[in-house]
Amino acid sequence: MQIELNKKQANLKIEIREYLQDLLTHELLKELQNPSYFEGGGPEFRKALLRMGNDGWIGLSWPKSLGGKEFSPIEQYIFVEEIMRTGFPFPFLTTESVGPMIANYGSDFAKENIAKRILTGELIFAIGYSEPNAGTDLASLTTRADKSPKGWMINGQKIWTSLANFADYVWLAARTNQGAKKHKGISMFIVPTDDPGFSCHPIHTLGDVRTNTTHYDNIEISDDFLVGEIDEGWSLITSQLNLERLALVNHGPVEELYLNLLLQAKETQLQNGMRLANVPWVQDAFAKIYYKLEALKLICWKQVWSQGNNNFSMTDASVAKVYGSEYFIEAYRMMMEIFGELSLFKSNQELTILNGKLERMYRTASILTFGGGTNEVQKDIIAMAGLFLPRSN
Amino acid sequence: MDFTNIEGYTDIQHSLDALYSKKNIDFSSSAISNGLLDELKKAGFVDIFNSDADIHPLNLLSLIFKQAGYQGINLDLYSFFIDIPLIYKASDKSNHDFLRDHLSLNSLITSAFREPYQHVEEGLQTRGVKESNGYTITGNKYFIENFHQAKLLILSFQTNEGIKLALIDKNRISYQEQITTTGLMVSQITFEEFHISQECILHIDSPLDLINEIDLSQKLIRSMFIEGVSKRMMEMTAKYTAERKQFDRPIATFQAVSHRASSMFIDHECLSLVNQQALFSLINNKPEKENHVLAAKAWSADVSHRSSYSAQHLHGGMGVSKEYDLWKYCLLAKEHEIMHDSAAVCITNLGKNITLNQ
Ligand SMILES: Cc1cc2nc3c(=O)[nH]c(=O)nc-3n(C[C@H](O)[C@H](O)[C@H](O)COP(=O)(O)OP(=O)(O)OC[C@H]3O[C@@H](n4cnc5c(N)ncnc54)[C@H](O)[C@@H]3O)c2cc1C
Repeated sequence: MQIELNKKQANLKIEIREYLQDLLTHELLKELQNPSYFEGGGPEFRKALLRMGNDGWIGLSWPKSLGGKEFSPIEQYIFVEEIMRTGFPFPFLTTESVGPMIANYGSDFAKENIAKRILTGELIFAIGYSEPNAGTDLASLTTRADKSPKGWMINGQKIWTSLANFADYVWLAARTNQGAKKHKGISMFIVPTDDPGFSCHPIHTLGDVRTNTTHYDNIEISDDFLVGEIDEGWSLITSQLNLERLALVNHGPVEELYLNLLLQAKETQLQNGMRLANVPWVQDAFAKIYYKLEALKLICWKQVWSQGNNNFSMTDASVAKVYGSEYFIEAYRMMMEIFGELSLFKSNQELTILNGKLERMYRTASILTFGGGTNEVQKDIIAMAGLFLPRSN
Repeated sequence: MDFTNIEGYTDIQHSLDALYSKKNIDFSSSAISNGLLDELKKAGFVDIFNSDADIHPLNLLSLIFKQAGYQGINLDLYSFFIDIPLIYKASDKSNHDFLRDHLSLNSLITSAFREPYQHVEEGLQTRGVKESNGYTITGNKYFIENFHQAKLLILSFQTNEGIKLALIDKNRISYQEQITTTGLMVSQITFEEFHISQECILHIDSPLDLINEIDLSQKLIRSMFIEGVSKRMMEMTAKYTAERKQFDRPIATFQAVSHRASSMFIDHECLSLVNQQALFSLINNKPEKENHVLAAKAWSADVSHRSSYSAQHLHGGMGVSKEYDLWKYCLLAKEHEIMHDSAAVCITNLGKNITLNQ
């Protein structure tokens, strides 16, 4: 047993931290303040991603044949944790969940020309699963891919396709067999967003996160862009989602927020001579944020450790997703209570707390409770696969 | 015992609903600049201290704010409707003319009572030091509503002789504007050795009692607003989950969904009862009024939080899309959850009251 990072990992963490300090230039930070670039996609963002790729940081745990370093999933997690702490909108779904799928199941062409370029920081993916009538019931999706002379013809509409406004490709789920049972006739494709048949329209959200509706109008792609077997896409979707679930609840960003707020509370001198951090109920609130955060960190660590031992379970991914997403909501609430009315101010104002970061985080928090597979369904999975309870209908 | 209250005022409720549901009310603009205050005046809702009215002012205010919450109106008139009328009631007749001017909308007065970190401080931090003709003020006020439109400002500060309230010409003061989470603009003023002459001091018998009454009324009316907001979030959720189908059935037929929606209903029921009790206690000046109001604000803060996240969650993506109105209610819920003390603060103060003072 060793419930801590080993020396090598701890050193890696320091090395990454130093590297990232240098990466976050003034121009990049300025660009990320611009609402159009909150999720990335700007020129400085692209530049930084390319640099990370060239310096070998993306895909630390990937095979050497694809340009990775074959480190363990723990090192990979540490990198993502550190980069997310900085607030850089790292496209972790591309690198952590879609990338490994293409690396494992993509055509030779896709491995060579797409997976490798994810590692060099050249390519970003959007995920095209959800449709207006296929959300939690994803298997009822109707976007179709029909056999065509050159390969496949894609038609349909997706909704909530985040990053599609600047992504290079969409990781798209489409129905390839109209006659089969709904989970059986789905296949996975890599769809280029520069195709004339692709279009994208913004949906603005409560948390200022931009997402999109995307339309696919007679987009023809070759067999090289099919990932995995025809009609067998469902297992790829579930594997991708298991990886996504862990990435979504990485403990780094919330711990960073907690540490920064704790520091600010320690520094805030009240008129009555006390520090904000010494007010008894504030101490209580910080303690609650901390002890629950410890559990989240350990859940995440155990999972990446299990992954390294080829022991990753669906139940564990669901536990992480439910616990983490619900914790975020409670933690942000307690943080706002600690700073009271000051926490309501938006960014770039004199009294704003952490330049409005907390104010923005609370507005984005609910997305994770239903996104990436709604929490009720995750609890069904835990009941079935963790507790072996009879399946609910 | 008699729980009839709101039911007795359906006409008022209907006319408020009609007024608020006008399509052209911009969510994040102030109620003065978007003409809403004028409309409320035209409809007879502004003269709330009219002694002939057969509804108590606090009861009327509860309706005005509850229905605003229900209709998703960002009603930034707490100072206008609560602080200034209560000052009017508490001050001696020499102050009445200009205060009446305010209520007739001829000259807007706003108040500067809130201070940063007030939720963890004891008493007022803005200090006034006595001089030969007046006071020198040092301190910081924020969350000042409608300051840029006001002509006058009423400021509270602590002196060696107790709390004072002063009326200041707005043009004497420099201020900064700030945007809150709902998009509203409020103002902040830093006073550094700012001089106030003796004539500016309002004649009020017990300023401390007045400040406490304002605080309790603010808490209560904000809780009423939240009651309206949470009711609407609950109704939107019920309608949406009954219509939205996944797995070939309305999502409301999943027990997890209907149970969470039911919890919103239970929350709303509890909130409306504690609110009603707090209103009753405040109107009738009951000895338990402070605890009842603190309980109401603690409840409303909790319900704000829970209803907002339940509603978002049960709507899925639609709950956060700006193409559907729920997002506005979520912002209003958070702002009011935190304003005039969160649940954490109200519960702490309630605990002190119960264990130390009673
Ligand atoms: C900002 C944002 C970004 C997103 N990014 C992407 C993306 O990049 N790519 C992508 O494909 N999708 C994305 N999504 C979509 C997200 O994955 C879906 O919102 C999610 O799958 C839920 O689907 P839905 O919104 O249709 O909600 P619904 O399926 O209608 O569900 C609403 C609620 O109903 C309840 N419910 C539904 N089914 C059940 C059940 N069987 N048992 C119990 N309760 C149930 C749950 O409470 C659920 O939260 C994004 C969404 C948002 C808001």
